[in-house]
Amino acid sequence: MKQLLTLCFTLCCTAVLFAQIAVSGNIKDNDTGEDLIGATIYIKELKGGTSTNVYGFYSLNLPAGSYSLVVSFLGYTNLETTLDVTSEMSKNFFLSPNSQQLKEVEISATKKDANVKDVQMSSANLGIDKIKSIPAVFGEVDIIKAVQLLPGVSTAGEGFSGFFVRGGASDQNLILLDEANVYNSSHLFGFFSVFNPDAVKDVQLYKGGIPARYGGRLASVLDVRMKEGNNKRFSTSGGIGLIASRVTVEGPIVKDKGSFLISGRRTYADAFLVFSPNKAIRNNSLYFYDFNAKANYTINEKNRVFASGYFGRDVFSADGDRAKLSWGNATGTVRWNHIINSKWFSNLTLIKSDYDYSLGGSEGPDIFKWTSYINDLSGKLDISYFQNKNSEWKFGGQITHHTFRPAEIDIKNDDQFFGFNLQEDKALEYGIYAERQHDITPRFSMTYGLRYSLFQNLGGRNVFNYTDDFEIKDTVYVDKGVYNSQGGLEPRMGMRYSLSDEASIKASYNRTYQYVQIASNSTGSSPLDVWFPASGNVKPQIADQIAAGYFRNFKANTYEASVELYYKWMQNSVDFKNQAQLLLNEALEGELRIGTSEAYGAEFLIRKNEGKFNGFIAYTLSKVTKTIDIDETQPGKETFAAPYDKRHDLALIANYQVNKRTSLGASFVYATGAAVTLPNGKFYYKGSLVPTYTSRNAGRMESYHRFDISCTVQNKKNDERKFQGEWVFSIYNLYSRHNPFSYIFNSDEVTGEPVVQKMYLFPILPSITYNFKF
Amino acid sequence: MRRFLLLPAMALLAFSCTEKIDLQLAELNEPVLIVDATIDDRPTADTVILNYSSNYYEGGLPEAETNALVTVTFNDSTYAFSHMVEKPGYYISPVGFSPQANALYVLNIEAKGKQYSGSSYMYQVPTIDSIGQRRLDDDLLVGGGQIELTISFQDPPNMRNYYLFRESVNDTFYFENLADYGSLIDDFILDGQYADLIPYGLFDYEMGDTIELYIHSLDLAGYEIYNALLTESEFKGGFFDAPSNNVPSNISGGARGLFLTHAINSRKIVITE
Repeated sequence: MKQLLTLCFTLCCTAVLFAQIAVSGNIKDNDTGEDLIGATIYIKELKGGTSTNVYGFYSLNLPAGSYSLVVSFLGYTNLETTLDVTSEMSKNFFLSPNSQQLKEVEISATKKDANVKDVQMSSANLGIDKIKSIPAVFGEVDIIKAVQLLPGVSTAGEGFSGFFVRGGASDQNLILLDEANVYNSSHLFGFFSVFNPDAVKDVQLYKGGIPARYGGRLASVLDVRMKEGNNKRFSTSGGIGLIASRVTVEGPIVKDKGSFLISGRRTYADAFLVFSPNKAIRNNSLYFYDFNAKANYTINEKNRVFASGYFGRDVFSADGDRAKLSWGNATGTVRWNHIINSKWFSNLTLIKSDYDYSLGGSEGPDIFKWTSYINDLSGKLDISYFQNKNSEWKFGGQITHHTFRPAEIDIKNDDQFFGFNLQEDKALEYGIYAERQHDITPRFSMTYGLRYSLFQNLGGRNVFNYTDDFEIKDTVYVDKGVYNSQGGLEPRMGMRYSLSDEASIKASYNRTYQYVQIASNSTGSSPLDVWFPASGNVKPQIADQIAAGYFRNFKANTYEASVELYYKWMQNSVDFKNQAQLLLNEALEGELRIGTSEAYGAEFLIRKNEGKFNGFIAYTLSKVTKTIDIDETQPGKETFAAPYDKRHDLALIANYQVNKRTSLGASFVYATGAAVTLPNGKFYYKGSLVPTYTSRNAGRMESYHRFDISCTVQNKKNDERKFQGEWVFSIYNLYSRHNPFSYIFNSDEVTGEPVVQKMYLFPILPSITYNFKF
Repeated sequence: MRRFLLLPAMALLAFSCTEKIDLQLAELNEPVLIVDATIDDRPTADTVILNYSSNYYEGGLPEAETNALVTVTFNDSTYAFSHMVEKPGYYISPVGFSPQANALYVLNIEAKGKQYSGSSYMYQVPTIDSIGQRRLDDDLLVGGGQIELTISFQDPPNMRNYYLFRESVNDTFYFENLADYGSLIDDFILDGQYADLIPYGLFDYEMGDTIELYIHSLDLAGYEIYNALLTESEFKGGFFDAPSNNVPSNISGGARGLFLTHAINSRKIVITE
């Protein structure tokens, strides 16, 4: 009890210990004016400092005096300067990028010793240059494919853009693009993600110890921030690849005060179809395109506004528009950064996030249209209070209005119209939070916070009540207004104890609530998946996670190593009964089966951050099970492996800088085969083979492994020339492993005998891409 | 609509390859009775087919159940089906067995000392009023050069109806598997409306062929189980598929399979395009 009182006393009194003077400002890229996220200021006299937030803002509280500062950010030349602090002041720092050679070898966008010194554990900040150096399928750089290589993150298999974090399902990841929720992060059925790497500045993944400012998903947060655009000069960059090309234009609106960025890309495999002599092939399309746009303007020293948006669309059509499927996301974010004073920083954000798909044909005899959409409109306020150099508070809140339209079908047949609409679901989701990062002693730091979330279903619709057998018992019309509310407290906590300058131990706990989920019982995400909210019949999913780890850097932070252990247990886990009907089902909630899930594992990471040869080895040992009554023919609940349960998951990534112009990259991945349901017998019905199965996910596919290589050759350096170009040659799946995508159980077409077929996607795939910048 | 739902899988198939593998699979603890029982209101004989499940890789014909007692009861009368020696596992309805719509049918089977039972309600079926035809352009990827048939009928109002459509060509049914056997329709979009020459399907018919379209009624359990059989027996590429699992049955006692009852209406058309 005495220690607890001492701790409380310490927590309360730190605010008033010293008379301190606030120094605040931004740290920016000297060439482009881009704010640098996570850049650090180190004060030699105090042997400590701070780092910039996601808007590039920092605030320091210092006693009056003269200080020697080191301002740094990986990939940039350190800035050493002195600062005389006499009164509250605003001070911006500008860092110059390192030479290209050094930039190529950076491994992380954060400070060098973040692995050991940050309180935050179970997170990763991915440098966009590093992502670009990893060999990619068709040479298309993909942020989510890079995320899938991290320890604790697994993939459903080749081609999937979905990812699974520490036993969470793919819909349990909060994927944010400039704070807007991205409901479907996939292009081309999952082969590519929606994030255009040329438009992205920063990628931060939280797997555990999730800060209280994030909410709404159980498993992880992937916070992607777009570039702001060069506010010094106009520039153009882009790339031409085998399957897609992209171009980005950026420049100042008003030099040093505002800038814009417009970035777009499109696949063009379908462009070659027009040359086909076969009209049936000429009339087909399969492509995606997306646009990112962002603008910002600094009104004055204390006010800055941003507007950004994303619009992407995938289209697959046959016979012109006779049969067409199209889907896409659209997001928009408007932000107002306001520096209240040098200790207080606020950000007000308005967010629009939409996802929709449409399916059907718009000409010919089948005039058919099926649409489904989700519309979100959010308001969000975040405030940071830089209390002193040992304490920073964040608090704020968010309110989101959700509209879910699961399906709307219109059919026109000559003069006849048929229609079918599933009811709209509307809901309000609230979250308020407060969190504090607190350096209690030089060795011991904590972050602690609390979030309260609330979800309210809105009426003006029919609501179904179900029997214990999941049949509709009765239907009740509920008037407009709130008819159902559910919420809860979500405590978050993390701590770090430094054993030395190069070693620390960390621990964290977080509780998360999730109120909306995807109605899909397949492992991969389909564009036709619909999201549905918690309700009187569906409780929010709740996850608790504890994690602990040991973090050690070597040779002046050139090498870093960590091991993390985690245990996560989840309540109200959603699954679906066998043979569930998830599409066009007004009684979807009757198809749900609710239970619990459990995940635990160990994650190992060794990383070499610097030097000509760098890379990392990530290994995860884990287990994920669900306990849910999914089989009505069996008594009680069944415990089965989640389809994304992978006992072993290994990634080796290496880069080698051969000379100033040439670098080599290689990656090897290995994972235990996915858990699948395998047959133990068969029967025939009307001539078709119908397998009979053992219990859910009791079998395993073959293991997955793959080796990829790449070579990047830059054009000859010429300081007089603005134009810079590079060729990227890569080979995906070098030894052409036929990794199983799925197993098919059917009869041989010739002999009629039962056979098993393995479906696989990509054998060896060479590719070439040319990137340019001027 | 099913054609549209297949669009994602069609697109992904373009990227995929398949190869046969020798996958180690568990074996059955014991074979299970498989029931394929169909009764309709047509004057032709009805059959109940009984055989057993087998290990996955086991080739050849399934083991037929040739010594079962099979009865069907409706409207308080019970009829014993007799085994057809020339077709092992086939049990045929007796003379005088005249099923009618709007009745509950109960199937009882006794085989190898075990009792199995199932029931199905035979609903009334709408009348097909007309059939239309149109030959599509040759250069379409979907349906190029094929005949599209359209169909008119009145869907009964205020009730959910389930239909199985089939077609014969020159008085012969052609099917190799369940997907070819017929088309399953749920009236949730049509409900209670008059379907006026709505698209029925695309076919490779020749000019002069006589096509007879059949509409069968199904009860809900029959529709759901048939749909599950179709799902589990069709190509499962795994892209967006639910986990594979056992098809439910409306036969109790541990058997698998399906007991279906149909009222049937049909109409003929000669292909002239």
